[in-house]
Parts: sequence; structure tokens; C-alpha cells
Amino acid sequence: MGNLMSASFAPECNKAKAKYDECFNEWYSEKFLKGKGVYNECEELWDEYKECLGKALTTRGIQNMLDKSREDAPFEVGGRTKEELE
Amino acid sequence: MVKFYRSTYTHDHDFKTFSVAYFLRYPNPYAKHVVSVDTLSRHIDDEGRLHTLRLIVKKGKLPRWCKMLFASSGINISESMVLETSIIDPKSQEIWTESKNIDFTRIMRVVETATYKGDIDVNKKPIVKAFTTVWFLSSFGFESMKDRMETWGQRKMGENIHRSRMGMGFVMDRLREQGGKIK
Repeated sequence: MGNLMSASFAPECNKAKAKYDECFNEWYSEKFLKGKGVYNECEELWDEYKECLGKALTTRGIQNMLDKSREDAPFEVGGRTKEELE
Repeated sequence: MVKFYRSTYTHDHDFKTFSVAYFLRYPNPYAKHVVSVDTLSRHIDDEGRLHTLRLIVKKGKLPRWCKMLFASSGINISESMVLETSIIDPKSQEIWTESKNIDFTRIMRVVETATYKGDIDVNKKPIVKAFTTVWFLSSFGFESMKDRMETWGQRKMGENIHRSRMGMGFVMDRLREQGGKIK
């Protein structure tokens, strides 16, 4: 049985998300973690997913919350500054 | 008043399996409250570390007294959103994560940070050591209510961390059965 994939919060983005996730998971496990991938090969698929997400985040009013949350000072940054995390 | 919870744990899996399972951990039978997972941004830095920002939507799990209290204030909590940052360093075999709720922050802020480090045990078997810290910061209502909320959050956390370990274990076992391949 294959792995179940998580859903997007926006059902209209599920298709684009599934394509991107599949590409990412393959690249991540077979290249990145083996030290073979220095750049993410799934950028093209990512664009489509990101565009869909961007619209959904704005129309559902989530983008405002995200922006506000990013302004909050983190409790701990694992020895890294906030700028380095961005 | 801020309350926090610390815990350490050793996962009986190698770093690669753990790292793959980290992004694939939802859905699993121990996390039925997770509704969705979306990747908001992702990049590799100059040191070869992968930075990822994800939005995770969870169905709210609040005690009844809490729900009643919020309902009387006109707040209906059925879902909550968590922003998860992760930095993965495949060379040093380390993962650093931070998760925090982005809604209902004026009621309670929960911030969880964790570090995971690939290692070997005394029998030379690969393991992953986990260190987790969770902060609770409540700003709702009177002092006594804040204290009650924070204590509830802290108590609930032990249970939540246990379930999340079970979920990770489930996903890692499934990956191991598949020989580490994503299917």
C-alpha cells in the first residue's frame, strides 16, 4: 500500500499540491538527503502550487495572520537569528 | 506567566528514514485531528540546509469548560492553524523545527521547538535523538483563568508528544517496509 498524502487546506489546490509533493519527496529522499541535490528540482511544479495557495490564503483571510505571526519574535531560534530563518 | 514543557526521546530509526518521515508524517492514525498540510516556502541556504515553512490545519481539541467560555465570548474554535518552520542539515544530520499557532494567539500561544540529531547507540545501531521544548503563553481573561489554561495546555502536551512519536514511528515503520522508497 502506498503512502497516504496529506490534503491542502484549499481543495482547489490539491491537484497541484499532489504533483509538487510527489516530486519533492522523490528529490528529497533520493538526492538531497544523500548529498546529491544542491538545488530543488521541483521549482516548476512548485510555482503552480504556490500560485494556487497564494490566492486561497488571501481570499480566506489567512495571509494577514501569517504576516502578523512572522512579525512576532520567536521564543527560541536554535542558535540562529530570525533573519537567518526567513 | 509562561509555562513550558521539556522532553527528550530516542527514535529507533536512522536519520534518513526519520527525515523522510518528518515531511510525510501526516496523515497517520495517531493524528486524525490534522486536516491539511501545505508548503508555503522552501529554499536551500548557502550551507546546504533545507528551510521549509508549512501551514498545518488541525481540528481544535479544547476541554469543554474552555469551549463554553469562548462561546460565551462569541469565539468559536473548531480549527486551528500552525506554522511550522524546519531546517534540515543532511551533513551534520540535524533537524531544527519550530511550530506555533497563528490564530487565537490572544487566547493562547503555543510554541514548540525541537532538535533532532542522528547518532549511533552503544550497539552501533543508528538512532535519532530528539529534544523538545514547548512554551505556553496565555493572555485570555483573569489571572486564574490564564493559569488554568496554561496548566491544561502543559498537561495535554505530554499526551500530544506521545501521540506524535507514535505517529512518527508508524510512518517510519511503513517506510522501512518499503525499503525506504516513497511510493
